[in-house]
Amino acid sequence: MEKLLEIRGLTTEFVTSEGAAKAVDGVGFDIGAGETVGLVGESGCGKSVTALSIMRLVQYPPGRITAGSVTMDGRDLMKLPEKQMRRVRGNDISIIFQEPLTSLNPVFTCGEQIRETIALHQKMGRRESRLKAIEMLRLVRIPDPEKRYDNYPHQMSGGMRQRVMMAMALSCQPRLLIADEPSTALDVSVQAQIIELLLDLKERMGMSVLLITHDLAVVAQMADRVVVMYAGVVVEQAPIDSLFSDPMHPYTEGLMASIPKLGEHLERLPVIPGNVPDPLRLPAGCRFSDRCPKRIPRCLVEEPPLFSPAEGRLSRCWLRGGIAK
Amino acid sequence: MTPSRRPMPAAQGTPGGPAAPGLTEVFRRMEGTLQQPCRTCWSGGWARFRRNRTGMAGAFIVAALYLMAVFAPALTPYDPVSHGSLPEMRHRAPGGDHPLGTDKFGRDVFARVLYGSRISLTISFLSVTISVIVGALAGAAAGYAGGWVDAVIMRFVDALMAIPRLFLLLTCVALFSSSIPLVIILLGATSWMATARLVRGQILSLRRQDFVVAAESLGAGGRRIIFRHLIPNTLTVMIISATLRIGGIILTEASLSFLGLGVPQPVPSWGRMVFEGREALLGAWWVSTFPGLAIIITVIGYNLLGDGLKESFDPVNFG
Amino acid sequence: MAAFLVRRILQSLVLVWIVLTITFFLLHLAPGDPMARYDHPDMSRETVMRMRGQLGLDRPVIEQYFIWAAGFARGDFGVSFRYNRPVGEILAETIPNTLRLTVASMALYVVFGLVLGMMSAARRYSVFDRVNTIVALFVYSIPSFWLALMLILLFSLKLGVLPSSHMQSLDSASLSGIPLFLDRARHLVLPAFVLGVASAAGLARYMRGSMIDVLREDYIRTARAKGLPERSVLLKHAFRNAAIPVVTILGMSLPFLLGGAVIVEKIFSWPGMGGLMVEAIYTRDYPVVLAVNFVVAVMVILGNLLADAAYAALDPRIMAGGKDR
Repeated sequence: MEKLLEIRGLTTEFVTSEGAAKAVDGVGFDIGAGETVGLVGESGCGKSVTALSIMRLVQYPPGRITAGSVTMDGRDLMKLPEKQMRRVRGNDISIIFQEPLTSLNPVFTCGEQIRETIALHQKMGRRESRLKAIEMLRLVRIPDPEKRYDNYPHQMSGGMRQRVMMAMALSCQPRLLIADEPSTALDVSVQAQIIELLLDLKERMGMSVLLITHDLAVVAQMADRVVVMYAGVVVEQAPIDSLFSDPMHPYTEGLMASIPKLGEHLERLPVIPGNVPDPLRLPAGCRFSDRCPKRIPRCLVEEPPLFSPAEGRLSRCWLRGGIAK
Repeated sequence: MTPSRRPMPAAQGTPGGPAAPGLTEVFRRMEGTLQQPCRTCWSGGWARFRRNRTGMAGAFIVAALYLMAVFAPALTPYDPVSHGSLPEMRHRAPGGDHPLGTDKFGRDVFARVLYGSRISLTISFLSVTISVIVGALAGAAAGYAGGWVDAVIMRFVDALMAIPRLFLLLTCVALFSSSIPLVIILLGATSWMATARLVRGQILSLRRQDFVVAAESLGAGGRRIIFRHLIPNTLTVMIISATLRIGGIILTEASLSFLGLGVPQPVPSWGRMVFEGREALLGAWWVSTFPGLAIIITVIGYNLLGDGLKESFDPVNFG
Repeated sequence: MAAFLVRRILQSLVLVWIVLTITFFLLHLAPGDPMARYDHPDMSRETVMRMRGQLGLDRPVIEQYFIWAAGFARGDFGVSFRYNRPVGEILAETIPNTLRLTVASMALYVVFGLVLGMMSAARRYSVFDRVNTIVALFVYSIPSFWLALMLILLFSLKLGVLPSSHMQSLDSASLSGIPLFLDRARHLVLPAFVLGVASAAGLARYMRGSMIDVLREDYIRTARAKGLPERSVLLKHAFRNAAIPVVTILGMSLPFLLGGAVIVEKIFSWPGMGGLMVEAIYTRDYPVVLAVNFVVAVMVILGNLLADAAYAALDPRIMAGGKDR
């Protein structure tokens, strides 16, 4: 498969009064053309910051990308002058966010917010871009798009707003769509619709998707490959089926175990004890060690590198130590 | 979301405040979205204040001003009121015996500025005390009583605030004759409205706080609640409000004196000094300039102090 | 929206009525016979008798109140001692002058305040911002009469480039058209500057705060994620949202601006209501004093009403209210 995006050693720091905390610490993975990669982990593991870092949307103060490269079309996006990066945003790479109500500007109509992206990147006039925007609304299955064009965000339901976000993001046919928890803030019934829409659009437009979520069920529906993050680093990478059938990291195993399954009879839902470590006070050695049921003495002392225990699989665990990547 | 962060429904629907979203956006920040009393603020407050540079600078300036006012006779040998004996004493440029020059009557400007500070500091302090107390009482009554009492008081406040302060003051001065006590009372009587709003908001938000509801459910009577819970929390708001308003009162008093309607002759007042220097502006600029600078420094001092207090003790309500 | 406006108009009327009542009380609270206020040796007997009858001073206080209130509502404010003309007439002549000054000051106030506020917010913590804050504090503390005198000293007396009094030059009777306009403009500069720019510091502070709040919002992140140039983000997306709460500040600053006009008009011999008020106080011209008080309050209430209407017009959440899902 052709590589669309290559991320290497991405590191993003946040400066606080108590020092610099690395929200993302040396993260790297690839995204292939037309591939859907799921980026999974619990809140605070750095997955959203990774997404924002790819787009260089991290604001200083207090956040700053301190290292790493993100290569697309042979260019390192981290080294691009801001003007060129702006041409990438919304155009080659788009992002949709978790909370559509606050992510849309309340004083402009939904249609206008879509139109402005089109007019900007495709250099169209007002009338043309307006027509195109209405087309996009139709594409995301919003009924009566001409009328909805003039609606304000607060006049729409959560599901519709998320569709508007999608229309906005896809209006210039990006090659990569980053979806940061696209369905989390929505009602359960609406969640399914949105995911289904995403799948459909992805097929039609042939783009790659970086799907960020903590919800393994969503990942299972959509992703081809999964990257699991914990406390700012990648701890496992695997194709979707292998991940579910044979997780190769204690953290992933814990995640799988805590999903209730139909027909299963349990007294208590298994949980991973403990909490995500404070980025300013990381444990020595493996970051997961203090919560890991399988730790060995070495885990407490030395942080493992990413090993490749099988073809196309990665795991940051001493127990899988073999060929270090 | 913890209950204490809930935006106050009172600000929207009560007959008391301006109910429309328009004018209330700012008022909401002042009164409607007041959060939980910053109980922890008080304890660490003084330590924070000492570290707060603006606040300390302001405190320093204000303290220096008060000291200078008190020790005025020691700082200058001249009498601020009596005219200079020799004609050539008039309108002397700053320098030598007269560090800030003399005015058209030969009076030493520095001495006048110094003694004038006594007037300004005293009047403003007393006025702001009156205004804050009246405002707090009105606001507390409105906030605690609620209902039509609240509505009537707040409408009254709104109407008074619609009349520009100087106009209201001038009207009163015209109707009652001018004297120092009157000026103090009038200044206080025309400045209490903002404090009333603030205190009312504070009371409203406090009343709904869990700890008050808990006290009520335990059978604590109205008076007990007021004294043990509401007043201490409101006190901080009052003090900070007073410090922030005193600058405006000083400016208003100065404006009044400038117009000749404030403190009567021959008591030295900075505002009137600026007015008197007006005629000789080109030739003897110092007569108007230095009293003006004195006003500026005093107001800056109080504003810095107020800002510092605000940041250290209650950034939540005043932020 | 219509309901909102109607409600506000009714509230405004109530306020006007309360101001009327307050003025009446002030008149009667003051020591001395109220009629004595309206009686003046220079006035003709007929006028005195007419006013006695009009004010109904031989009637009980309640009746007096209604007669008096009705008079005010009609615009009949009695007769001025000094000018021996109906107060209403005098006001009709002076109000436009004050409006000229206030509008010009307001324009300066708004422009300087908004622009400085936006620039401070955009360059938060920079040298510009800090200098601005310090200068603002300083300017905030300057008495307007002192500033006016210092500026007159500099620009009129020492440099001689700007006039120091009146609305137009004494020999302007021969001028018309553009030269007249320019002459008037020159006379407007210093007074409007003192009244407007000096208070702009406060507005800038609010605008800065509002902009900073808005720039933290999610939809600003979305705007950047679409690849919009920073200028567009600030001027289009952020400004519209930040300006909305500031509109109410504009309404609140009306009393301040009008009050400041008293001093400024006196110093610059500007033939407006402030100057009229001061003169009336010196000459104990009570009808004028009370009338000006009332009219100014009405202007403020009207201004607030306009500010609220503007607020409602700017914020689509109020205008295009409700949800039509």
